[in-house]
Amino acid sequence: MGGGLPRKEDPALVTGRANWTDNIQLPGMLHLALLRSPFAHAKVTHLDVSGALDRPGVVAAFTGEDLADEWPGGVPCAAVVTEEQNTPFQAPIVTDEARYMGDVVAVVLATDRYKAQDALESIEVDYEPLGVVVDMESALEEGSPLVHEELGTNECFTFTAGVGNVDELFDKTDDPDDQAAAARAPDVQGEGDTDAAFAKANVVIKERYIQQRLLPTAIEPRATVAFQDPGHNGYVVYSATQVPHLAKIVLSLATGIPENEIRVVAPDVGGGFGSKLNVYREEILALVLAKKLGTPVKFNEDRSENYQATIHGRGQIQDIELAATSEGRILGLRVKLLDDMGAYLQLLTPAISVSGAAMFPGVYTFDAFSIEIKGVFTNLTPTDAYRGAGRPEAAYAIERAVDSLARKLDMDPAEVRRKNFYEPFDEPTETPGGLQYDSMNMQAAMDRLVELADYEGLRREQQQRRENNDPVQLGLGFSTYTEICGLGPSQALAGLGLGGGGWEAANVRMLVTGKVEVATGTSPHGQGHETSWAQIAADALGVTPDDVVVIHGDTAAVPFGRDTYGSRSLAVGGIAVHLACEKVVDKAKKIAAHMLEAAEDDLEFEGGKFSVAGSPDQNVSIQDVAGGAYLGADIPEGMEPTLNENMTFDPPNFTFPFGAHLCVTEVDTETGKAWVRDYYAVDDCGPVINPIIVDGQLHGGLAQGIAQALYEGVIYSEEGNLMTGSMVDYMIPGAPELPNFTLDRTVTPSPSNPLGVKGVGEAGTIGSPPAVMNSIIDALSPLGVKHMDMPALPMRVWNAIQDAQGNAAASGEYDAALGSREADVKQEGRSEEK
Amino acid sequence: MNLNTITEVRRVTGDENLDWREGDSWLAGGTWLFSEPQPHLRRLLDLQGFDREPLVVSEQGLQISPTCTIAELNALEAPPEWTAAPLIRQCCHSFLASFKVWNTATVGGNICMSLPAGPMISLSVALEGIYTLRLRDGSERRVAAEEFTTGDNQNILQPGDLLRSIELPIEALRKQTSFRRMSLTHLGRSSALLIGTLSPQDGTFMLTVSASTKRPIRLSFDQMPDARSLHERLRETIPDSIYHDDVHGAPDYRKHLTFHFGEEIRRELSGNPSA
Repeated sequence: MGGGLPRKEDPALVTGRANWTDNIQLPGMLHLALLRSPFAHAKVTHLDVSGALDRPGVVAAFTGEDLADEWPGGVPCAAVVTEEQNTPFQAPIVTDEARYMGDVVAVVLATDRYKAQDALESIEVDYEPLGVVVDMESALEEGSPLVHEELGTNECFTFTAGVGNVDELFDKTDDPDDQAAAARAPDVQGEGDTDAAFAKANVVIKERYIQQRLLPTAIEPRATVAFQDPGHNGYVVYSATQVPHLAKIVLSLATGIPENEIRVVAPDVGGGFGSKLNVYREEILALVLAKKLGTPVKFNEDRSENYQATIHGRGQIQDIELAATSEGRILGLRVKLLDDMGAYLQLLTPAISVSGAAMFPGVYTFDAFSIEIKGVFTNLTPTDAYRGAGRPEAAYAIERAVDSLARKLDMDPAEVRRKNFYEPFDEPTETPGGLQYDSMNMQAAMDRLVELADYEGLRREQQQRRENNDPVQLGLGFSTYTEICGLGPSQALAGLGLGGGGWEAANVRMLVTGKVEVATGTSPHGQGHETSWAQIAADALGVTPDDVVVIHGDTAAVPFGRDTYGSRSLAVGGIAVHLACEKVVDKAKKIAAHMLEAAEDDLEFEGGKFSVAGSPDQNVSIQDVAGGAYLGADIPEGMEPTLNENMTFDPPNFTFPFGAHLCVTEVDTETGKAWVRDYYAVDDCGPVINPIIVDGQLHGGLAQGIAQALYEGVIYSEEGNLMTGSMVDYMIPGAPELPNFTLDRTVTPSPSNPLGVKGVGEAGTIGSPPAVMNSIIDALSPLGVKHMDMPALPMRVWNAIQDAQGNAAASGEYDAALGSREADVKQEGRSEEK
Repeated sequence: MNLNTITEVRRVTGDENLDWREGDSWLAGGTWLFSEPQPHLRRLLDLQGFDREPLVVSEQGLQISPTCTIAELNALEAPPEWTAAPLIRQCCHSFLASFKVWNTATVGGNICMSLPAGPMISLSVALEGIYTLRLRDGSERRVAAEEFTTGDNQNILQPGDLLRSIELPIEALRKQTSFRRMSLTHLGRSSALLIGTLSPQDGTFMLTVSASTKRPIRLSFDQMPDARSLHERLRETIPDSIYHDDVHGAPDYRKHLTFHFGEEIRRELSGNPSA
């Protein structure tokens, strides 16, 4: 472990030998095409699929009514975050109303994909358009159109949590200029820990941030093939999924097919970023139709469908208030969120913001914190997990607010952060969010970062440009973050409304030839588990990584697993592999002692050999032990043959990677164009198994975070039409838009697992958006710019400059749809720094 | 995608007399045509039979066949005296396009699509291109490139008319040029694309505004204007209603970019950044 072993997965991937779901061809296979609503909200008043049946190659066509009995459970949502949560039924094909543009109205099955798609045009359908609601604040207003009439409200849930008496903290300060303070809170002497904080509060930062919707855009769109298992009484579902084990359960719940009659296989999967941490109506439809028709059914979405009907990420309005002393010491935090559910709840929709709620305090220690989250239905594509899933949103809010505090106090943003960091710790420590952070040393990460970047030198360069009135200004933006990973302790997950089941399983077996098979319940889709798990096993067993094959992604081959998401794989699944290996070694040691006719306690195990202490010539390799164990002829009496050990690991706590990032941005004040010149990141994910993979995760994560900050954003029209429905209008940066990343690491082991590992899959996506945005505002602050929402498109940057300078700014139809002008104006009105 | 209303695909040379019907469409590279439903179409007239040389370099300048692909144009090795030649590659790189599109999409397709951000339009207008059109009745008409595009996705072609060639005159290819473009990503769609040309012979200055406006607009000056004159001419010539509005930029912002880039180009071609 710790070596930069090239990824074992890559040769097949880069030479076209990967096995994608869409490569699967089966005799008699039918292709599924879906008629999707062109309206964001409409009653289906007439539907006749018979015309499609006359088209060449079409075998069947169905409405929702035709198949309603096939999905007793509908499309399930596994998250219940409050007892009062409204969870509407989501039928794979609607029977009454379409509730977002892309909702499924009918399906066609044909002998090839194109015939199926073409036949959709022969379906007769009439719609009666209904009132549409596309923004969350309007959705909560009295009299707003209802996404689900039967619920009587667009509110999905209201979740509250907090510690300390945060309301009192914010109701009055001792700011002598704050004339309204006494009126707001005549009795300022509260009880408990807020009293002291209240008395000290001099500054309150109130800001609103918009987390725009994002399109996950995995390079492989969704794909599914379902068929009756010819050799068994059951069904096989191949799917481009992150979660074959969860899919098996959900498909059973949705269709009523017994769980033990469903096998789910995730072959090579081309990315997911959370969008494939889901079970979609298309997977349910493929299974149901394969069962009904007795023939294999394939669904493969194109990019337009992917943008329309695969979940979207983010979608929050964040109102944040931060109280601090005039010395920059944070006293408390109050957060109110509106969280856009979209039209339905997908697998984890309501849990995304709730699972990130406790992360708003970030890497800062203070006493008072409260949060209120309202989940809101809109006539838009459902949202769900997208890389980071709740944590980027939280990190963004606190990191933006801390920079605002620094500006308000005219302090260096690094200094404000240092004032509020936890003292280094290596045992679980209580946080304002009610969690137990496992270990942290922000000071070390920050020290390394400012050294790595030559922070003082950059500030000098910035000052020079300001003095020269350079049209291209330099901005420096910090982000110091932590994230919750290693999902997770089953009890804790149950507390979050996720039902539990945060363990991970592994089976490690040594074959008669001494080769090793590792079966893991994690399901990689780009993370490199075949390499990292082989390194873990090789290290524990004293073999080489080439001796190890990692098996994953097939519920028949690996019956138990909780799959891959939330940076959990290494800290839970990798640990299960490690512990299973230890069990193998323990058993092998007993057999080796028997073979060497020595006492077990006298044996040492090193480099794959058991040897008698003091007599190194008396030894036996673990491969020979494995062979002996397999044959069973020369093992201790009563011992089971074979080296074949299972491990199910349920961690005692989450893990909390952390890091310090510095973004160096250049902003052309004349055109508004901003670009990242340099990006420095010092991340701490505990001990590293494979630095190549860790760096790769960070590079990809940083790219996605920079993308949110500078480029990407979903735009809907007021009628709920997706305006960014293709890559022409939804702008994903490529390599030319990104800088070289300068990375380094500190290593603070986690006490939550024996390897001390923490996870790194989402760190870059969490750390980078606030760093980028803080850098842009830093660049423009001499011009009076205090706020900007993501993405910082050139026009938005230019507008912010014009606003700050008192000039008329640009506006247009699409700009309004993105919310930039509205948000910026609103921000100005809400600014209440005292 | 399949165009399932198509009943016939006919390979044509573009020179024959055709019985142009309602529901006909010329097919060049097809990169846009096959990208979205075209339920009104019944027959495709495939210009692959259009066997002219993609690029002809002569003493008169450059003749571009409409079916010349972007990749072919980009690969042109221009004579060294064509000082304007770098514009060709700059415009080829101003596409929202992968290499696959480059190898299929055509110069004529981009011009006839007549989108505000069509870089082949910018190129040919800036270099004083002349288009030869073959009209539906078989006659030919030559038209200045700047008169061809009339709005967003609009041009002077009538049903059955065909763009037959694009000529870039040698005088224009020997001019000094300056290029400015705003796009969110390097290969993204342009929100403004401006090109300036300066004649070394007579000092005439031309400024072509595209992408920020719904149709290309070329301003001509007998000599290099001062900043105020350029500003005034832009203001007088381009009404606010002409500035384009889409997800890539609001009209007011595009207007700002137009004035800003125009002034940058003026300064660059003046050879005096502070002029």
